[in-house]
Amino acid sequence: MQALIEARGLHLHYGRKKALDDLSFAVQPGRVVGLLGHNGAGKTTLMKALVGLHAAEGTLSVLGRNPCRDRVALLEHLAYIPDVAVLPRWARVSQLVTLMAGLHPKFSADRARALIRRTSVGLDDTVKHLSKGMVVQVHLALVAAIDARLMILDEPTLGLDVLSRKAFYEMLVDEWCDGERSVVISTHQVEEIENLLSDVLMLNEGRLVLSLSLEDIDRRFVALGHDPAAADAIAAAHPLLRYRVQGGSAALFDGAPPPEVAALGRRLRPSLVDLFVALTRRPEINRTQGL
Amino acid sequence: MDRFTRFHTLLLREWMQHRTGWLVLMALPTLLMLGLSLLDGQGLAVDGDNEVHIGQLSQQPLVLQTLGWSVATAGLALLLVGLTVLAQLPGLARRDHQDRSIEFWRSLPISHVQGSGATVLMHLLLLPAAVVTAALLGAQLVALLFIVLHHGPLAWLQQPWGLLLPSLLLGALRLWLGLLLGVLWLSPLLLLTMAASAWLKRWAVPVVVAASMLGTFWLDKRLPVPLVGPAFRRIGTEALYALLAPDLFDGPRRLMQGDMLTAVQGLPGALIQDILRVLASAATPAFLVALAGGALGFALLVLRRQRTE
Repeated sequence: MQALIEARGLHLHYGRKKALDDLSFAVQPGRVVGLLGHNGAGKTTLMKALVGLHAAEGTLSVLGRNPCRDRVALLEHLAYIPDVAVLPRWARVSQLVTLMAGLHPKFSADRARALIRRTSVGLDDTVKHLSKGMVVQVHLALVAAIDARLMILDEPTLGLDVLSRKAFYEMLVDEWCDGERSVVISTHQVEEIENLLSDVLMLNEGRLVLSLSLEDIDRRFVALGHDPAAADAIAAAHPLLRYRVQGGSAALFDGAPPPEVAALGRRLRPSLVDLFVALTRRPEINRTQGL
Repeated sequence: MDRFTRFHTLLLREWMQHRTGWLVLMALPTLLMLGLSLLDGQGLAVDGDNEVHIGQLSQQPLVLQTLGWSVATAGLALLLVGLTVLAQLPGLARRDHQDRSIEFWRSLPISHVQGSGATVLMHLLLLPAAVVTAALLGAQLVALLFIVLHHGPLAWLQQPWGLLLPSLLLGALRLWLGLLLGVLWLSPLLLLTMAASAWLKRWAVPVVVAASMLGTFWLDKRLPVPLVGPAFRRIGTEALYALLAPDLFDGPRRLMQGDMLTAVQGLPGALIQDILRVLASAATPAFLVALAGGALGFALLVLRRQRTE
């Protein structure tokens, strides 16, 4: 099956700063990919490169197209939210539906209206009179009404309350993910979407530090919960991260720890948050801040 | 979905965003002239030699009254829309950046050429054409009311429409053509100013003014043949002629002093001559250079939109 996104050796510079540094990854159909990284790690830059708004060096194919050369044709088959608070403030919601219907060939005005009716926003409301959360709801409803093969979402739930975020994730899983379409979603609320994700891409200072499915993450990384008495022995095995858990301490290893170390604790499921901290925190902090 | 549908939707976007102001702009010349037509005993200077009172205008032949109101209303519309466009122009290029909605538009399958082109076409051509057309139509209402007020309801119907209609229609055609050619002559100044605003933000107008003055008063003195000053003069002269048709303004004087019937009968011919003259001025290398300058400004606009972070 051909990948929906294929990237090899991607580089992108802003002047002398390296925004993307030798990225290589693939996104298969039917996957929900979490794009994680600190502020300034390169998530937005990568997403803009995927939709042809930034020209990156290297090889990049999205839905079989070169994003920069075939940007308009690509965007006809793709739904993209760059940043949720960017709807034109002068527009009424109904006008946005009309404009989207005239600009995007895969947009369904009826579906958009149905999705908007599920929110607290009226079709006659003007964007400038909506709260930030309402603007987000409208934008998500508009994008969800696009019958696209690939959805690229940059912090889509920023500004939404927990109920609205939950409703969005449910809509994503129930109505969008059909085994053929894929989603690439960047977010800081890692814990909330961990159960939705099938794959993870982690960026740190422009570099891809992890590109794995969640199943492979479970197989590769081992978290070991242990008593304080075993702390020194655990530390001597050079885990990626040592952290607190309820009732004690834990350590995260890349690969299986030595059997004598494994025997000192009990195996836990590593959370994405802990993995994220382990792989993107500076190494000297990892070594010096022991628990 | 074809490109025309998308482009049409982008034009619709402009209308949706600005329609309140544009409707006011379309109605204003007619409303002002309506107000003026209800005044009595007020002076209105037609030219330097003759002063015409509104009350006196009602004593002129009816065809002159209708033509007079049409010219005055269209002239006022041209002035108002010209001032509006010039005031809005520097801000247009960065309009969507202020509320960051540029990111929303760039997330849709719209080419940068279409995105910039719809804005330029709507604001520089379609809006002025709509305002002037509304003014011409409104002027007929003003003339109708003025004539009915001073001469009774049947007088308006009894005008020589066989003479008047061709003049009005050809006058409208001359106006639309003049708008198109005037904007094209001015396109280097208009679009390079827009592009400067897109790239330099609030520094655009000062930089454009400074560069123009530098070119005219410093560079031209050092060139074997002055270029900048003569280029500005040529663009200004041709655009002014295209927009205002100064030769035709001899008409009111002829209409008032000479044989009115002959003058009105000659007006369609004079208009056709003027249309041909203004088309001939566009069939020159200077016009092509002006278009090239406009194309450069547009290309810079598109490039800026493409590179928006």
